[in-house]
Amino acid sequence: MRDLESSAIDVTDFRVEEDQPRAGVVVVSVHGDLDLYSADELGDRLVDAVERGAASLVVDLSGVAFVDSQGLGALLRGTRRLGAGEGRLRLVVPAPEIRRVFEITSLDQVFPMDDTREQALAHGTPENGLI
Amino acid sequence: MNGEAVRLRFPARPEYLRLARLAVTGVGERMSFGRSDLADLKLAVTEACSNTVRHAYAPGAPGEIDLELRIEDDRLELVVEDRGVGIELPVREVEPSVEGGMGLSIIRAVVDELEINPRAEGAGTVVHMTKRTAARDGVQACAEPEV
Repeated sequence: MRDLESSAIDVTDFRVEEDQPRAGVVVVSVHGDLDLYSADELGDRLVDAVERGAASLVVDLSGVAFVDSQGLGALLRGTRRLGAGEGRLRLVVPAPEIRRVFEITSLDQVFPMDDTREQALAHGTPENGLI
Repeated sequence: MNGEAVRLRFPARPEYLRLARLAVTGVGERMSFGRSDLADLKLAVTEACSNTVRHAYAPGAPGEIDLELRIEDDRLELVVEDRGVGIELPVREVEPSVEGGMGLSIIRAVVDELEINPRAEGAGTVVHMTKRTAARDGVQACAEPEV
């Protein structure tokens, strides 16, 4: 059996970027694989964005090649921190393979999803800032 | 390829989950699984290995995961084995909305068969998953490049 104990695995391509297209709305763009290795970083960034004043979040998963249950958990952390209010956290999920994970877990009923960032930013109400 | 197997042993740490995905993707592509099934295989192996990373070994204690990919004519068998403290059997289904409880539900949804048993000898758990290559919905699976 091959022993990989000493081998370095490149997992450094995961990154999270933020943009604030207008007051109260933060777009969080995720790149790389979203799993146990990276989920806490995303969850922390979402919570931090809310604590810094974001009233609503758009999480753009266009650059994500893989999402598992830990990644879903990070998104749930973000939406819980935002509190009540439908549509306060929207997802951009163009890839059917990624969208399927949400459908399997019925979380497509929790997170509103769009194909593009522009579509996500076009949704909303005056109360949640996504207008 | 029939009867061949690929075996990996790697540390039970989060940074190695990607390695498991690379392995199953490589084998799955050779078996001409389609794009959707390749995504299912990556999900299944990640959830099983992730569960081992989080629960099999005491916090901070070193541990390893054995991943075996068995290639058969009509299926790929994925076996994830650890030598940790074991899990409580039978495995209890958890509400999908509960963080950390979604993994098993995801595995059940993306593979054709799932068995979870204690290792025959010594401590540890064996997760045995089967994904069939048979045509679904009248469409023969075909190789598609991973994007």
